[in-house]
Amino acid sequence: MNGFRPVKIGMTVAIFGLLVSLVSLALPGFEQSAVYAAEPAADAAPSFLYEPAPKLTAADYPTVAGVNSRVVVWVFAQLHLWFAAFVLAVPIFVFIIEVIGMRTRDKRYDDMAYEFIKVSITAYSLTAILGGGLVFSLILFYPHLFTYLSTIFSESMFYYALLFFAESAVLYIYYYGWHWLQGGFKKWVHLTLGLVLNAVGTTLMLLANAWLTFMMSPAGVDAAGVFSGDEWAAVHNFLWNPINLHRFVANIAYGGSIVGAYAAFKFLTAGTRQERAHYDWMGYNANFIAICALLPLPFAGYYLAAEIYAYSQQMGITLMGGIFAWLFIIQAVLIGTLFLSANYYLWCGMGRSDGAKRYTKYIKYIAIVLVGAFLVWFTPHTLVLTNEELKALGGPHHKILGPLGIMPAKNTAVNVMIIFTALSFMFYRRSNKVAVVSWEKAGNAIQVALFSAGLLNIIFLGVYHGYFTNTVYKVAASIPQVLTTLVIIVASITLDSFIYRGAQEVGPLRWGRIPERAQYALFLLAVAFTWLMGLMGYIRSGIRQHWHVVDIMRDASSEAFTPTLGYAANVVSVAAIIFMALVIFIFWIAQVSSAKTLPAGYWKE
Amino acid sequence: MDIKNYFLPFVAAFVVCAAAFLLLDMAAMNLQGLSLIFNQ
Repeated sequence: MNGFRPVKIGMTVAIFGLLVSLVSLALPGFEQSAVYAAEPAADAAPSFLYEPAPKLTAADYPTVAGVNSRVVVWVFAQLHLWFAAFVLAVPIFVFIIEVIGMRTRDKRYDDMAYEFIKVSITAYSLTAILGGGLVFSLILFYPHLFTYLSTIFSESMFYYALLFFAESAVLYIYYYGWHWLQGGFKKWVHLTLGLVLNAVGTTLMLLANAWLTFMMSPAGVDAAGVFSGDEWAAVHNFLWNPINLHRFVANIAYGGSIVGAYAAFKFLTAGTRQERAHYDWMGYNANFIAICALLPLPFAGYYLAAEIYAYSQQMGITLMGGIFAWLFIIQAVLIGTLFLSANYYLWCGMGRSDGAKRYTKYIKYIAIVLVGAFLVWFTPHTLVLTNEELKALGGPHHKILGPLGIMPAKNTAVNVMIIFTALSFMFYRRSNKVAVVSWEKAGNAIQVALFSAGLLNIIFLGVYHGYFTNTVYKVAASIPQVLTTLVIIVASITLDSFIYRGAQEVGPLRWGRIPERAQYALFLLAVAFTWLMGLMGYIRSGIRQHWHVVDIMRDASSEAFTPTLGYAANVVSVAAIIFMALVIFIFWIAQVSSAKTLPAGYWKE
Repeated sequence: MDIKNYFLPFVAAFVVCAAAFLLLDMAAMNLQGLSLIFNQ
């Protein structure tokens, strides 16, 4: 009964973890704010117990083996974050897929969910190893910063460690118990474990987010960095929730893209038609997850950027108007790549249906609009010009094209891209259906009217406020643009579901009938996401400039300067290559774990 | 073109949608203390 051994080990680990957690919670020293239990309120806690933030000199930063301390911490943090994003996201959609499988009683969903979680198991170990590497490098290279942060976040760091333990225990039972906990009540137990796994994983993310956002928008400390004793105030700092929202959505999109790459890898190496069909279906679902999370992601990003501006205009201007502004051009190129590759995959996927021919004629128009919006999105505001070019142009901004470099144009472009991606998806859904309702033509006319009126509204808001109003109006106009996009997507999906109620199918979907080049679009999606997260993560961290904790604790190391964009892009690119190499290793491990060799004559009969 | 089954529903829906989006714009801008049309 070898199959039960890992389950038993997992259960033992889980029980041990739960006992440790319960004992630790019962101990008086581990109670929340035990030190201040006698105080009437957290605000009134005696601040003299805590030291101000240390004022460091270059001598306070150890040099170890001559390595660049910033790059070591940077690469470890980035690699840890990529893997953490992946392993936190996968259980979210595995849970949803498992629910769909239970509801439809279609075992294919259950098998797919199991395969997704199988891929994340090796990634989970790597996440922990890289997290350990990050902690060690922080202690080694930035000991004073680590001490200061761990003094403020002592409790949350302690609970983080416990939760990490609980996460491991639940994950192992969830994975190794998959085939054991099947059918009836057992399946519900398994699903509940999935829910617990997600709750613990999300809480871990929220805690880690608190530490990094404290460094950007410190709270619970005075101007000298003296901690008030109220850890919740430090956790619930100004930028905590905007980062929480942005990371939660982005992680799902990222997780979808990585498992999409896995499905593409398996599709390309598949030996049979059945395998190709299975991994084609898996790749489609992964791309669907990535697109669903990608569509609201720009809005979460704008919310975060707006909150950064609201917290500190200086930080906001450094973010998008200063040195980092050019990285946003690269960001636009990468996000444009994401949209184009996701759409391209959908268009290729329409070949699975014999009824898709009715819609393929529209694809070229969608492509033209997407490319047009893409071009607007990465048009820079201020051009890098020679003196002669400046004179010829009459200044750094072009009279007509200049406004394409500011936010109303960017907002218009991204909303248009989102709407046309939704349209691509609508065509994909329709491609294998024939409507039977008598008012189909009128319904289609209403759909066209909805899209036309909405797009005109978005363009009106972008052009009018981009060219003819002041900054306050330009920023405010983004809200009705977003609302228009949401209304179009929700209303069109609702209307489509009525038009295609009781619709006939053209024929069975031919899974596996998709060109191999479509799989490379899935690879591109994963690589673009990885690079994008690395670059944007650098910006988020870099806007602290020469501060460890903004306005509280100054970075006095020899690396306390903003590197050139080329240098930063090189560091992120090298880290991305290391990450991709590790991901390929994970895919390979998943492949060999199911391979068997039967050595004839090796074992005694 | 099928005027009764396609063109008329399109025109009617376009007018309704355009008016609805305009109202949405006005409401969203008013909630931010601004008018839809720029007012110095």
